[in-house]
Amino acid sequence: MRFPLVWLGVFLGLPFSFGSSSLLAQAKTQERRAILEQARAIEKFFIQTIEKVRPTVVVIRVERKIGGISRFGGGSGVFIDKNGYILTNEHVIHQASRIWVGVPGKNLIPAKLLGVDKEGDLAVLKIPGKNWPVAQFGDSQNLKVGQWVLAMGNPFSLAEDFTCTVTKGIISGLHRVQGGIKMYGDAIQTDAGINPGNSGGPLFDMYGKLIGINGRISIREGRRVNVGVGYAIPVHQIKNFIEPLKRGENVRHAFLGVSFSPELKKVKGVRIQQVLPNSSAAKAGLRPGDVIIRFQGQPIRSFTRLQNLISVLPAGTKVTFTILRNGVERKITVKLGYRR
Amino acid sequence: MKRVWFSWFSFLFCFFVSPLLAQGRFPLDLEYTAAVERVSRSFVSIYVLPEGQKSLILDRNTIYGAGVIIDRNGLILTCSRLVEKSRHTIYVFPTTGERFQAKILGINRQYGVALLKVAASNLTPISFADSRKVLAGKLSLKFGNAFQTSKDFTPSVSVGTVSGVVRFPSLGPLLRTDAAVNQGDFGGPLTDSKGRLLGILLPIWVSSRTNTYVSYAVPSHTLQKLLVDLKSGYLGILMTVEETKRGGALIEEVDPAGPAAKAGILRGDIIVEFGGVSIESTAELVRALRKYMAGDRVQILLRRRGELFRTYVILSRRK
Repeated sequence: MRFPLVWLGVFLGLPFSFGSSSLLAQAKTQERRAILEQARAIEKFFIQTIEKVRPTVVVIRVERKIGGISRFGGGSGVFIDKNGYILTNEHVIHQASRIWVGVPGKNLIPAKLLGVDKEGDLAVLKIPGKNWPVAQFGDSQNLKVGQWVLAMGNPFSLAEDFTCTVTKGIISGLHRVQGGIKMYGDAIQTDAGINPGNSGGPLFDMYGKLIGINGRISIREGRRVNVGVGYAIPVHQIKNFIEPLKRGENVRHAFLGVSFSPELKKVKGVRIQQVLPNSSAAKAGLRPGDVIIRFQGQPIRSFTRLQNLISVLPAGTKVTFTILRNGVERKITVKLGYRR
Repeated sequence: MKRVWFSWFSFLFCFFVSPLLAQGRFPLDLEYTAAVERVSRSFVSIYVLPEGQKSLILDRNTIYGAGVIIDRNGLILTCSRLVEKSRHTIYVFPTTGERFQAKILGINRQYGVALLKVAASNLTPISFADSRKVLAGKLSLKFGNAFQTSKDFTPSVSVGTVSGVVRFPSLGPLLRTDAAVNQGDFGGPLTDSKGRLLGILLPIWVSSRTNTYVSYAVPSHTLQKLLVDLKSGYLGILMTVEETKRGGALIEEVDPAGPAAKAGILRGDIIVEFGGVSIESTAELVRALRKYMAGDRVQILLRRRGELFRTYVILSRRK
């Protein structure tokens, strides 16, 4: 009597065990498919965004006459107006005797240099034509670190046919200050591959909005190639200068004319160490020892923050400071000049 | 369990991620910005300045790097290369705008990891991922202080993958990553895309000190093992495993430069009480010792030639 019962159990159990294992296998394949689908969706996103904005990126070629000898150089640029206005870095076209723009599918087009922003490392070029594809300005003040970005340009002058090279990465940092003759204030730091020749090329977010112009990389002791630390001029700075640049004016950046000493102790604001004579700060009556606690109503906790806020403004901007002098708060309004 | 987790994943994918795709949001943006925000709360920049320097003037000779908070009461993991210089003060800068002077609790030379302590009680620790399950190809984020480009102590973040789990002679496995790791990123955390700690970044092994897309990190499960030793203070004695007749731990050797020697402990003494806990065996003393960190003052009861002595010892850090 026992055997038939066991057999009955086996017969009843078999279909169940087959059923459940195939169900599990099915579920697993479904899960795999879902993950693959997500990966494909991400890939598609990359491709679609790149296809959308790629036509707006151009190649810049320049000729420099140094000591009577022609030297050729180049960089990248981006269309910002359908009438042929192109944004690039100032250092790309610096001292150029002739400038050409390379657009995919066309021959080199001679370009005219309009305005120059030497300190901000920007220049606007123009080529004839009425219906060029245009990169839309994004909002570079609401970016987040970790967001994915695409850098486009012409590294190492690779593109003979003027089609750009695309590199991907994330925003590594925001509000970076890179000093020097050219001041990269409030810059966007990225680990997307930026190499010589990428200069002047656009940095896009994943929605195809222009958020910056790639212009500088950090290097140490090595060759001038990408190490994963590049900087882009943010679009909110560019917006402050673009109209005069398009009109062909050379612009200057605002300059306060104070120096600070970074302190290891925590202070409420930033304490002024020195005031440059004849600077805007001197004219406004700022003195060494004053502590700047607010700028345009925004609290200032570090010198970097203040540098960022001022460096993106054009010279001639009227601004308001709140300072602490001998424990008393004062408001000071000053029209910012430029660095002499 | 794994299957259940996976089905939850697909469920979540269908209900949360797909609509976002439909709205045109890039799905990785959300995950990565959230991870960056989370890790930033536990990230610290580290600057090592000559003793007595009052202001934070940073130049090419400044020693700088990164670290990560692993305990709300001020425990910070970093790489040892950064903090080994004598006559220097270690400053730790979280992203909150605070600044601390740090002490070294312990150093592990084998892996090149150091544990620091700052006087804080309200920090945000990072959560640990299980690095034993990590396979090559996993997306990872690096947080560091590359070229001290960040003047406001926010991290420099870059993305990459775990490009291998590799073994070196005399070491356990290390994680290899292709995320951009440059000078100043050492000691910083390598995390997964959820912001959980995968490892601590080690100095890169090329002369140019710039990124070559090959860097190594000490995996989090190894860190957890190392932490037990890093955390415990150093007493400076060697003990016998032999059972003593009347209980306690018999001291076989005393490190002449160690805290035990300073407290007057001699070879042949038997520790019968440590910090108020009675000690029956060597193993019990080892266990008791692990509860104390470097700098802690502990009361010890000794038996020497049948007589009881009471003494105090200030534990030092492990060398």
